Amino acid sequence: MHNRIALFRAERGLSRKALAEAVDVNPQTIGFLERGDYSPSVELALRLAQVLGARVEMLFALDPFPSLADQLGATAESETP
Amino acid sequence: MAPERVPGPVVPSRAQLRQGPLASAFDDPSMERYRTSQALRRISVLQVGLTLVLVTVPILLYHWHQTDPAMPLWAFAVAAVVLLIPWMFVTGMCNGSVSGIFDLRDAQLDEIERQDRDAAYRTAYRALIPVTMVLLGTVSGLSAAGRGIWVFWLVSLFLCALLGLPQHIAAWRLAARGDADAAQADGPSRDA
Amino acid sequence: MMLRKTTTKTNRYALAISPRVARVLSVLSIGSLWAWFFLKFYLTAESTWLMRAVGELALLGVGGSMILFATQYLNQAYGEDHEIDERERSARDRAYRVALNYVLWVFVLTFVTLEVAGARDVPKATGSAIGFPAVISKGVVENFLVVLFFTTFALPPAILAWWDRGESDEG
Repeated sequence: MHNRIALFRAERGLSRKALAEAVDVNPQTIGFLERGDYSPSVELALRLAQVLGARVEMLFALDPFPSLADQLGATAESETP
Repeated sequence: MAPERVPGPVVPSRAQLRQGPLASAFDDPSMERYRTSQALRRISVLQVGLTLVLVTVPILLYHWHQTDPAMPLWAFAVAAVVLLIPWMFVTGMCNGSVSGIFDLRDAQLDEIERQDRDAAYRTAYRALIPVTMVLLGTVSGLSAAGRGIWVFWLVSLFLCALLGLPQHIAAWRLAARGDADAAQADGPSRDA
Repeated sequence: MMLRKTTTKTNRYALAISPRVARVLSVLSIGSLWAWFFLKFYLTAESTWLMRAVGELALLGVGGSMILFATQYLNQAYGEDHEIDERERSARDRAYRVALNYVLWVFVLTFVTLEVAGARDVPKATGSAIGFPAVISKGVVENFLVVLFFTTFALPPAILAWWDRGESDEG
């Protein structure tokens, strides 16, 4: 399973410890989740999505997420007249 | 235009993972009859009974041989082999009744099966600590009383219990879940 | 080594040691217990000073196990389900599985080794033997159970220490 927890966490300006406290887990667990070493339960995934203000499918996916640079490039191209 | 989703590595399906001879044996439809609540409990009790017999009879025969040389030693060997065959068969049934959760790899099990296996190991391990302490006390007592044969009997039984305990815990948990499922299926639907 | 609150939900106090120290301690304590067991099996009653030295190994093993049991891994290894999070529960269950398999293997291997090795060259093979296994005396069984008891205690925290990456909470 792939995830964007680190990206959203940085975006929200949260430390691992702050996010861990918000979702009621050990701070080390956030590290495991971010590295993809642990797949969370549905409950924890929903709690993470809630705290990070994102939909679950924006945070987790079975296939790798497309690179952010490619996505931004494609958006810029489509906006260029 | 949004970029296409990057395809990840091809993950084998559960059916593909469960194609080996061991997994196929556990998935055989004929195994279903061992997985009802009643069958799970019966097989568990039968296995415990056979284990007790398997441990006790050969040790008693050997002890008998030691105290009375007229008792032939081959009787001990024959008893051990004769008892081992049904014990192996019932132990296999016991493993089959819990869907082989202790014999298959992680990837071959689903989430609930892994959870059941882990819960069984957890309970067994937590039981091991006080049991070892009680056993130590009992062995010391028996040693002091000069009852060496019972020390050997107890230690052998302890080893067999260690080998089978997770399977029995899983069997009784699955049986309880089967009963709960049956009760729910018989009762009024919550959505009605 | 100091007393510190654990990072788990209950914030219990435990001995805070680094994963590296915990790993060294686990090898030392479990290794000492097994060394004590096997050396005691081979030693004869004449070598009393050596017996005493070997006895120190047992003390080291028991002490090490007790320290390991009181570390920050205690809560994860033996705490209630609600005291730890789901990832910690999953790691703990895996540690129990590994530990139980270890116990089973050492049980079988120890007695097979004692039988095979002992039958050939253990001087005290006769006398106090309990009957069936020719070289295993009641004392050997007792010593084995002592080792088993302390290693059973110390193993789950030790395994968790070996899996701990020791990463910082911040990030």
